[in-house]
This record gives sequence, structure tokens and C-alpha cells, in this order.
Amino acid sequence: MAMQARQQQSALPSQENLLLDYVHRLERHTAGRRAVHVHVSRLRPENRRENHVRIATNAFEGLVRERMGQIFTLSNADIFFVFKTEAMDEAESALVRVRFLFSEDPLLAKDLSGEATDFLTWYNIEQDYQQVLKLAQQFVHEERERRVLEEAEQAVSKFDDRPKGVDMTPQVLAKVEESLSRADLSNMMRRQSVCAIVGQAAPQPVFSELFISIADLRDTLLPDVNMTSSRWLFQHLTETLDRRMLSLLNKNDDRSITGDISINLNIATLLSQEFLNFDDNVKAGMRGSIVIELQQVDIFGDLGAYMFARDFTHERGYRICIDGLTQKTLPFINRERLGADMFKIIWDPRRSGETGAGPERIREVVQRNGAMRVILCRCDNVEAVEFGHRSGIQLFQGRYVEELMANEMRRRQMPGLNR
Amino acid sequence: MVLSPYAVQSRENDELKSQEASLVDTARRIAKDRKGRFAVHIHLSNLRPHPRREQFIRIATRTFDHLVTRMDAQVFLLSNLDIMLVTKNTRMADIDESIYKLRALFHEDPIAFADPVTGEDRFCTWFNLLQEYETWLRIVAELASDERNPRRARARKAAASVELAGMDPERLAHVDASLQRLNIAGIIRKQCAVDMAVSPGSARIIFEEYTVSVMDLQRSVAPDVNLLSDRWLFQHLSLTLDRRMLQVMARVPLAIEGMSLNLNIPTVLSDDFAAFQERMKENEGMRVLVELQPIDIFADLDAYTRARAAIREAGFTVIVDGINHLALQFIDPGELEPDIVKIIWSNEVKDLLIGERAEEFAVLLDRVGRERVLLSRCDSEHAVRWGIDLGVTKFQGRYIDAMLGATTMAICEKSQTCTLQQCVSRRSAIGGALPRECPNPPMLNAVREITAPKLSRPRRTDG
Repeated sequence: MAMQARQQQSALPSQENLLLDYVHRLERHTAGRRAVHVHVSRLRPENRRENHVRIATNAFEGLVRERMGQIFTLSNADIFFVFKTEAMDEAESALVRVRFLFSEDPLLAKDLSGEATDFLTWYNIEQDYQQVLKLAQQFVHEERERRVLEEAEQAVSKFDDRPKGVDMTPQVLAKVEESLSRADLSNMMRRQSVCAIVGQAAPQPVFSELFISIADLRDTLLPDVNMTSSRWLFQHLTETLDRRMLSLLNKNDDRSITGDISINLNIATLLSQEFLNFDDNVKAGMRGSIVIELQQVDIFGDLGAYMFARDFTHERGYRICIDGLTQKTLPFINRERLGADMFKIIWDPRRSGETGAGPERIREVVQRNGAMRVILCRCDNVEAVEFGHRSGIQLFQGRYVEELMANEMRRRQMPGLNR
Repeated sequence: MVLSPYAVQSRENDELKSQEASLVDTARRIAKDRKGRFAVHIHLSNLRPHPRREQFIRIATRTFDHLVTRMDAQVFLLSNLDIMLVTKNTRMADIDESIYKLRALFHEDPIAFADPVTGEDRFCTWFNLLQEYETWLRIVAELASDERNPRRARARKAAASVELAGMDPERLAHVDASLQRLNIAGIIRKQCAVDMAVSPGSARIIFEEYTVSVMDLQRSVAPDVNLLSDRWLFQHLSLTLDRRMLQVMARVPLAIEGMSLNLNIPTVLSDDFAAFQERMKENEGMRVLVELQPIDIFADLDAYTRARAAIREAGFTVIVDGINHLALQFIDPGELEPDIVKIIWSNEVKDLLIGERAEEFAVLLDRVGRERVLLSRCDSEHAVRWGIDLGVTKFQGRYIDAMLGATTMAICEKSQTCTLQQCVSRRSAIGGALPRECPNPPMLNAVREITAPKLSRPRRTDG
């Protein structure tokens, strides 16, 4: 239902497009016209809900009905009102009502001048025509970007919400864990490289993450169960998998644990007997080449346990990587204070092509921590690496990185093609 | 704990011997060979209580692994959780290094560092066994007799017998089902939060927080299972608890100031919450506050943002709960933009005002805005004073409960037969037998404000 309404809406020209159209037509009638831009979007979120905006636009209704002005409600909730100079007083009084409506908001509450210059921008169309035209074009551009982003977000959420079988319940989890105890997981162990990709040079593997493929696990054990439908039950399952992983690593120590590796573990696992057994089996010199990845949800779930586990594993010589960060959580993470050696940011396809503040924020993080400490993971396509490069990132992981490595391998095997 | 028949037969088996008994044996054995031997008694029994202290300490003994394997050193982990290290011709620097690492593991605990006044090392005591053997032997004997002490043994046995089964998915399924049927109103407790900024000289109730006590819940649905033993499974259980809570709370007659509920973010975004909201509309003007936990918030920040919007859309208030002394070092709760931040008072939070952290903490409070801070778990007047010194006006905790109880008893004409404890616990219940025990029910919840502790206290900085 909601989808349908939205589609109909986007079939209509946007208010931004109508405004641009209107401004074009105004070109020959600039004399005696004014405009005011009401920056509703600068108010606090709780003050710019739909009904607030509706009440605000109602204030101009009379003027619109008398054909003294035209009102445009932009998709960011801003109001743009163009009117005839002779209706200046009525426009002003409408604006008094609007300002009164939002007078509790800090933007207006702090306004001592009485001019509300942060809230209102005035234009004299005759003098400022070019400026207004540019502004209208900018509105159209911004609206388009917002819509693209929204659609991308919808696509992503549609993808996420795709039903994948019955939901996980405690009973199902009990069954899964029961069959897990009998299953041979060694053929579900996967490896994915973290590579340095600098400029156009071929990717250089730095270490590889070992993990048990959840997709394989699902297909083998319970094809009809959506394992990730309950966050906490899934998290519990990962603890069981941790223990299986550690015992697998204990068994084939020489062959699969060559080179630098990383494993994703729960903090509770680090404090368990299974980890101590694993630790006993690892040659002392090798610990430095093992990275232990911890999920940020696990860290914030019990900071005390995290700090203890971190100090203990550091003392044994392992390195710690915080996994599962997003651009949103990044501002909350102080790597130095958390005492981790590196961290992984999940690539978000909605950010592709993004320039400006997003990459800039990450760039700052990379500069503060050093390029060898920040990894962009789940890179499924070239856009991810491009975005990473714009942000100063040099370490990447994901399907696209695997592809690049495979290509590189083929090229090396067939040197003739290189020339 | 399954013992093999072999182990039962050989009573001399070291595995069966207590660490104390082995220590006594070692002490005897080395009496004539004390040259080059040192003993270090590490007082881990003095660490502050922590739910996983024992687990931490067992892991911590690993710090001595290389001393044990490479050199002739022995580590004894005693039943009171102290460690005794006995070395032979081990380089002091190596011992020192291991102890330093151990100290580092417990650096959050005050005993990891020397006493600031006396300079005494509270973490460990060294003995040069060539000269101090007698003193050390006395301590070993004390530790061993403590362990053999029948009263202690009984206490240990009692502790072991109430040892509960850990949570697993099967038990969770069972508990989940029993919870669906349980009338939870009887185990809901309420606690008031007060604000001193409402009217001068008094601290007035601003809301009542309704929670289910986990201990009571455990007793009701699974007396033999430790509900908290698995963090993730408990989180899952709390979702069921949320649904039951919303059903009950929409029907309970409520205090005028408002009610606060602890909810999971997925609950806030669910139909159950929408239904609750509908019901609350009939209760017009009722203020509702929703408390969200960091574990949930950081599991999915986007969901948090949506939940925050949904709560405000409903006209309710957003509280970020559970900010303890550790969270304060890593999270800037102001970035989460809630309406209220609940900081958990503890001695460790107090430590934040010492040294270089003090300024950081002040900046953090400025950013959050002191008017948005609520200091919870205030167990003493000291806690409230501490908050007042910082400019905080909102408080919650056992001290506030006691103040409300004392004020009630002072004006209640039937209070002679009651104790403060009774008055407080009757007030905290919303159903069941407890409130019915009150001889003067109209008075039980009548007091809505208390005299505020005086504000005009000079700032004191702890050393």
C-alpha cells in the first residue's frame, strides 16, 4: 500500500520541479515580486513533522487563494513562498504565525534580533533573479539525490526482508545446535583475504579471515530456517560455532594456519577453556600473526569483559580487530581508547558515488589511526574500492577483492597474455 | 564433576587434593631448601566483586605459564581466589614482569595500584624464603585452615548446592513458554525518580520506573536455571518480557507523574508497541518514558534512530539507560541525542573525577547537558551529594526510596507498627500481597516529594 502511494507520488512532478518551472516563467515578470525561503529543515526533527509543516503552509493559504503568491513545500520540509510585493504585509503576518508555531525550537528561541535570519531568507526577485534560479536548480538536484538514496535504501531493505524460511526460535536453535554437534564443519570452512589495494597496483594479501560459511551451514543443516532472523539467537549460535572453529584449527594446525590469519570470536569464547586449549596449541611466535576479530555489539554489551579479554589476548601476543562498524557507529569508536589494533568498516552500497562529508569523515579516521589499521569489508564491486580510495582506505576485503586476486593469479599463470 | 573410579581409588592423587593442601606440602618440602626461593602472595581475593571474577582469575593464572614451564616455579590458585607463587632461582625481573602483566589485567581495580596514602602495595606481598620463611609459613597455614574451616566449608557447599543450571536454547524455549502464562504483575517493581530542579528546596517525583526483578522471575518460571548465565539468550528472553510488560502496563492504574519502561528496540518498532500506544491514548496526558540499553542501541544504530523517532512520535520520552563508568569512557551518550541519560552511580564513576579524566568528564557532561542527566542506583547520601556537586538534579536509587519511605512514616499516623524496610518494599510493589500488608493504604503512595539535600555545599575534590 505504502509502496503504491509512493510510486504515484513520484510519477507526479516534484515540488522542486514545479518551483524551477515557475522560476523560469518568472523571468519576464520579475518586477514587484519577492520570495521567502523558510528553513523548516533547520529545526529540530521533533518540530518538523508532517503536521507541523502542514499547519505552517496553511498560514499562506489565504494569499495563495487570492492569487497573491505561490507556495512550494520542498521534500526536505522547507517552504518556498513567492509573492507580489503589494501583499508584503499579509506575507509578514503569515510568517509571524509560522514563527510562533516554531517558537519553542532553539533556532528561533535563541533569535534575539527578531529577524529570524537563520530561519528566513528573503529575496527580491527583480534584483536576485539569477540567485533564485540557481537555488531552484539546486533544489531539483538535491531532491533527485534524496530520492535515489531513498530508492537504494528501499532496495536494500527489500533485499534484507526477503523471506528466507521459518524464523529462528529457541526450539529451532536447540535443534540446529544438536545437529551441529554431529556435523563435520571442516568443509564449510572458508577463507577470505584482506588485501592492500593502492592505486592501480595488484592487490597484496595482508592476512586472511577464516570462517564457517553460514550459507553452507544453513543449506546443509536446516535449509528452511532463516538463521539470522533473531539477532540474539544467532549470536548464541556463533558462540557454538566459535568453539567448533577453535577445535578445527587445533586439529589441522600446520596446513590451514599458515600465514597471517584472522578469526571472528565472541568475547565469551576468549574467556573459555576452549580458547585456552587453542592458545596452548599455538606456537608462541605465531600469536602475533593471528588477528582476533570482535563484534562491536559484543564489546558494548559488556565493556568490562571486553577490556579483560583484550588485555589478556594482547598479553598473549594476539592482535585485536573490531568488526562490524558502519559509517554511523564510527563516531562512537575511539580505537585508541578501546585499545584495539585495527577495525573493519562495512561497505554500504548506498554510499557509492558519495563525495564530501561521508568519505571525509572516514578519511579523518584513517589519518588519525594510520592506513594499516582500517579495513573496508564486504566490498562486492569496484565502487566500494573507489569509495575507499576517496576516503584514504588501503585495506579491503570482499567478493570483489577475491575476484581481483583470482584475475591476478590467472595473469601470472599465463605470462604470455601480459605482453 | 564426574570422577573416574581410578581417581576415587587413589586418594593421594594430586588432582583431588585442594590447592591449599598442595601448598602446605610444598612448604614442608622446601623447608630445608630455601636458598634462592621467593614466594609471592597475590591478594586477588581483595578484588572488587564482579560477576565473572573467578573466570577472570583462572585465566589470569596463565600469566605465570612461562615461569612454570621454563623454570622451577609453582602457582597455587587458592579457594579464596588468592594466588600463591613459589619460585626457585627465578630472575626477579621475570617474576616482576609476570606480576606487572597480571596487575595490568586488573587495572580497573583500585588494589592493582599502591595505596595512595601509605604507598603500600595492596596487590601482592613478597617473601624472601631464606629470611622470611616463618612469616610465610604462618600465612600458608592460615590460608589452609581457612579452607578447612567447617563453617567455610559449609558455606562453600551451600553455594555449590544452589548452583543453577546454565541457560541453553532448550531451557529458553521452556522458560519462554512459562513466561507467556505467568501473571507478571506480581513481580513488577516500581522505583521513583526525583528532580530537584522542579521546585526549590524539594525533590519531586518525575516518574516511576517499572521493572521485572530477574531474581523474582527466575523463582517463578525456572527456579533451577540461571537466567543470566547466557547474555544472548537472556536478551532474547527480554523480548518476551517486553511483550508481557506492555500488555500489563496498559491496564495498570498509574501515577500521575509518568511511567518509565525498559524496552528492547525491536519491541518499540513492533505492533505490540503500537497497540500499547493506542491503549495509552485513553489514558490521556499520561507521560510515558522508554528506557533503551547500550547493547541494543549499538547492535543497530539505524534501528535506534527509528525507535527514537517512534517514541517521540508517540509523544513519549527517550531515555538512554545503563551508562556505567566504563561506558562513560568510550561512549559520548550526547551523540545518541536522547531526552534523558541515565548514569549508573558507583564508586568507579566517582573515580572519574580524579586526575586527567575529571576534565574530560566535565566536558562530556556539558555536551550531554546536566539537565538531561539522571544519576541512578544512588544507594547513599554520598552518591546524591556527589551528583549535586556536579550540577545534576535528577536522582533515582535506594537512597531516594528510603527518603520517600522515611517522609511517609513521619506523617503516617499508623506507622508505629512498621519498619522503614517494610514501608519501602510495600511501596515498590504494584500487586500481590506486599501492598496489602500496609496498615494505612491511602498513605502508601501519598508522598510525592521529599526535602532536597542542601545545595550550598563547597565543592570538594577527592584526592
